[in-house]
Amino acid sequence: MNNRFGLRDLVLVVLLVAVLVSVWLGTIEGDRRWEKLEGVESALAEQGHAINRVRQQLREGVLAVGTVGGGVASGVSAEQVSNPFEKLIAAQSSEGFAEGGWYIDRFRSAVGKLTPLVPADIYQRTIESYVLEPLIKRDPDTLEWEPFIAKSWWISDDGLSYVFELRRDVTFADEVPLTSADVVFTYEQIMNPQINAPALKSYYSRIESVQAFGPHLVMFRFKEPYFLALSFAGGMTIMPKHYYERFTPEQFNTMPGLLFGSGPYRLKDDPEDWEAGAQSVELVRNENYWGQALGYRPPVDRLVWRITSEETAALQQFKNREIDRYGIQPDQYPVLSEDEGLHAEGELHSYRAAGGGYRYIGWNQRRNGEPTKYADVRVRRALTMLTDRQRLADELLAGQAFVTSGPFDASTNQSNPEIEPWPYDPETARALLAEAGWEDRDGDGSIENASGEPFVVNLIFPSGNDGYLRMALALKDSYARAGILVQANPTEWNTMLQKLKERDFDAISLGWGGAIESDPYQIFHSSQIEGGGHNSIHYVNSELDALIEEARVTVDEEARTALWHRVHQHLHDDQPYTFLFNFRSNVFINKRVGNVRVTKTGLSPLTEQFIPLGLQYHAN
Amino acid sequence: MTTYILRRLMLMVPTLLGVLAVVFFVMAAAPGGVGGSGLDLEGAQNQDEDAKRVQRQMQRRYGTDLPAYQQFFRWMNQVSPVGFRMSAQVRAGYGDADRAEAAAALSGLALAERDRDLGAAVDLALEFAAYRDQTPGEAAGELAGVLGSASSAVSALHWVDSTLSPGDRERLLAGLTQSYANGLRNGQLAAVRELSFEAAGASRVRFDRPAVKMPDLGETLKGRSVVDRLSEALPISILLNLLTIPLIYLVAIVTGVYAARRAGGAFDLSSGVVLITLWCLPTIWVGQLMLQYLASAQQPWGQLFPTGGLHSLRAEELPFLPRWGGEDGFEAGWLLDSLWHLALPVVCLTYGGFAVASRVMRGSVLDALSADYVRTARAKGVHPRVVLWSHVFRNSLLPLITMAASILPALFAGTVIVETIFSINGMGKLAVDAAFAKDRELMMAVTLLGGILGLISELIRDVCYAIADPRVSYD
Repeated sequence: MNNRFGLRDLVLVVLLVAVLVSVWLGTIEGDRRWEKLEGVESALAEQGHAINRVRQQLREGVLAVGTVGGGVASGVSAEQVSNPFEKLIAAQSSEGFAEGGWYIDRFRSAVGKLTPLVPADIYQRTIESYVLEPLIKRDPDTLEWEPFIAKSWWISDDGLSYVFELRRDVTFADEVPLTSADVVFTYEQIMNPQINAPALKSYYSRIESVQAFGPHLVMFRFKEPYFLALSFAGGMTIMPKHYYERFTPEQFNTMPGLLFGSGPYRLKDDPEDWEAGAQSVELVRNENYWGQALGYRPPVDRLVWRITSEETAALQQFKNREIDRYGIQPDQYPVLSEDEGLHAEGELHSYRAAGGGYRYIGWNQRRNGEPTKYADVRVRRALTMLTDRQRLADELLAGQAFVTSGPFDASTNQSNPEIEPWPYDPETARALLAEAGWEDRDGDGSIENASGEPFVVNLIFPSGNDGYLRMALALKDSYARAGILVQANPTEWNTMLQKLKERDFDAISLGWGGAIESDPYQIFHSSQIEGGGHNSIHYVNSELDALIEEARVTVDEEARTALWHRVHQHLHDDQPYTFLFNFRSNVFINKRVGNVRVTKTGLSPLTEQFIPLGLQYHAN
Repeated sequence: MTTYILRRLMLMVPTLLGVLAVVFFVMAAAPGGVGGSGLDLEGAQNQDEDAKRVQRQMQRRYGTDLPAYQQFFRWMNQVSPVGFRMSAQVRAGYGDADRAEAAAALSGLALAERDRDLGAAVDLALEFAAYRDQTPGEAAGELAGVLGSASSAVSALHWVDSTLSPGDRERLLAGLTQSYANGLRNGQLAAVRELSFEAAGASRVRFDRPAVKMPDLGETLKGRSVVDRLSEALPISILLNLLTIPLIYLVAIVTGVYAARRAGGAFDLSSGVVLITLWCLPTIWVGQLMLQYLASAQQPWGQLFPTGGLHSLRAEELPFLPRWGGEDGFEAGWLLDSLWHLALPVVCLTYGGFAVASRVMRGSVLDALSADYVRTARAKGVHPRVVLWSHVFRNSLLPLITMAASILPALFAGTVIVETIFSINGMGKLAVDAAFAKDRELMMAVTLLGGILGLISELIRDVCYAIADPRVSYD
């Protein structure tokens, strides 16, 4: 028994483990101290820079007296220029307004990257919108373009040149002024072949050149007239040249946190040190924000996005006041909209965002080189009339969806207000089918064509989604009454995309994302059938093609709107898709948050909302 | 023993290769291939031109235009420490001297007025040098010739890759001529670059002489280094496992031994019922219940545990150790905060593991108790406690060692559910996300790591056998 594991051995092992654990904890603590120290150092350095600037200005005191006149002059001109913050400033006079507090939102998965341009996701873009700013912005209430960094703009008569005049008082978060050089730099950065931004590049490849004329004028010249030219040029978010220039394309492509700009918020620490995959992303108020000179200071101290992958956990966090916002899915609406725990902490806001996209059923008109039964417009119309869309919206989607008559959002100008969606009318539908040669010839209750082939719809839709499945089953039921057999085929996402690409499907149900003014070219123009375009249903209408082409190069908005209305009419008559619904969004916002209101594009921007004193519990 | 371990290590290589090959070819055969079917950011399909660009980029990065087995060799070459350097690595090896050489050869062009252009041209020249087996000077000289004048734009033709479709070639040459007409250097560089690289796929990769090189696990689809992703997720998984495995074993061994000592007694029955009931509860359900009852401020007993994550929002500002007498009295400190956050996930990970390990332990202790040497020891009058802990215990550890080998790799991959419920970004979630996104290089790296871990833990298991049981010998 000489190798017996005795008490002494046990004590030794326990001691050894204890030593190892404390060494490990010690290193962690060391790292934490180091990080804190670094934070303090960078804050000190920033202050040092600020002091230096002040000194510099003092030293140039004499000159400064000279430029005070200039300053006043530019001040006068600044007064003539509209103040882009008027609405936000007005909102600050609402009752209980206070500065400070943290606003905490939630993301479903970790944010991998904050660097702009390089492939990103919706989360990156959400965060980016508080740090980088565009030349002009759409007003959320009127949807009109409003001056922002650019105080005015002109469009040449040929619709090819867009000239923007920049404000003189815009600075980045490090107080370096924003000039036309930064605008040109942003464009060049996008087009730099070594920058990994393939999607943006192809958008911006319509631009021939971007030129600066002096520090405050910049001209975008397009290769061809395009109706979205203004939103491309004016909507481009400006990146500071002096900051991004330091990085080689390789660094730019791979460093995750390079986000720095002129916006009301900025990253808390040095963007170069930002680590992806963290549990939360935090932005702090940009204390040098240029809007402050115009009377606007962002109310909330910090914007935080917590990463919570699980719905139950997020629900609990909202009830625990750990997050301020909880969005509910349409299929959860009946349960959660009545949830007492949610109502105890938050207020339910329902809105319908302009350009929120739509759901559809696409009928493939050509398969294996042969026209299918859907090539006949009467069949397509009949199928639409057999779909009781209002009932689906009311019963399956708890009234959180609206029947749409076409691809354009009904709340935008692009949609033709005179068009009513096809009604639910099984009688007319059956007549139309009979006219097209589909009748019950052998008396078995299902309809056949002249050669005895039964009418079967093989509907594919994304698997793992209850909403689609329930809808497919409801359709199966209502189509069966007209003698049509529906085979519902939930399909794995990648397999489904493969089928779409190869045009190897019978009917498909899916959704399209939207825009305030969307471009139907990709989806309905006949040129998009070949080469993997989005017209995967082989829809051809040469009149519509011509209309879309014309509308795309019409810069005048009124004329273009008239053309879009005609496009809408064609799509309504042809029913290449059975257009189903737009959706309503339902969001719970914690009751403490002030100035939450519904605008045309969703809820009012976070830069308008505030947290009253006494309720800023996260900040202390 | 040493020869045995060496032999096992050698045998690991073909096994690992087999595992990697299976995963690789399954991924290659899946619909959509690498990265899915050219999905764009919102999950919608890419538009026409976009899709082509993305496709080309995929081809350059992963060689997706090659047959699957060649792609596999390409990947193997990339991760192997000995092999052929590919052009991208050759290019990364160029230093300041090479840049200067290229810059000198390009000095004839009036690029100096804007350093950015010169920099871009030098980058392009180096890229050409790497892909075409030229010295930087030669490549830059040739590039200078192409960029020299409008007429020499046509001479760019011989740079053009033969795999270009005639349509693409015409479009690109038109772009080149256009940028000459406008005098845009940047445009010219872009057009030349696209003509010679962008438009073509993997065929543009040149393999250098074989060399010892850095293994390269590659980039994720989103362009981040795979090593970075792994180093974010791995420590979290290791931490969870370091807490979970000893806990499972401690509870299992103690309950198992005591249950066996009085087999059929009250403790045996009750521990069996409780542990097997726990084993039956699905983690996903228990996790949700815990969130709802233990992590909710709206329950009458208040919020006992956090809802997720590994630290509170303000963890950075907390002191390290708990302390008393601050402004709010007691401050928990970073360490306690972390443990508090780990409590629910660790409970979720462990409760299901007790049953199996404890029952296995009980069975093997029972076995040993009825063995001859135990009877002999008892007959000799050895104290029952000594019999139990030094004769029986050691001999009944073997089945637990077998189990350990399977628990370790399983815990690395099998924590997905717990990680998702409690919003922890560990290895399990990384692997599942990679599989869904069809992120090949990430998936392969996770497989590689999992494979190595699995094989090594099997080896350790066999070595442990030899240590725990003198009858086992490998010599």
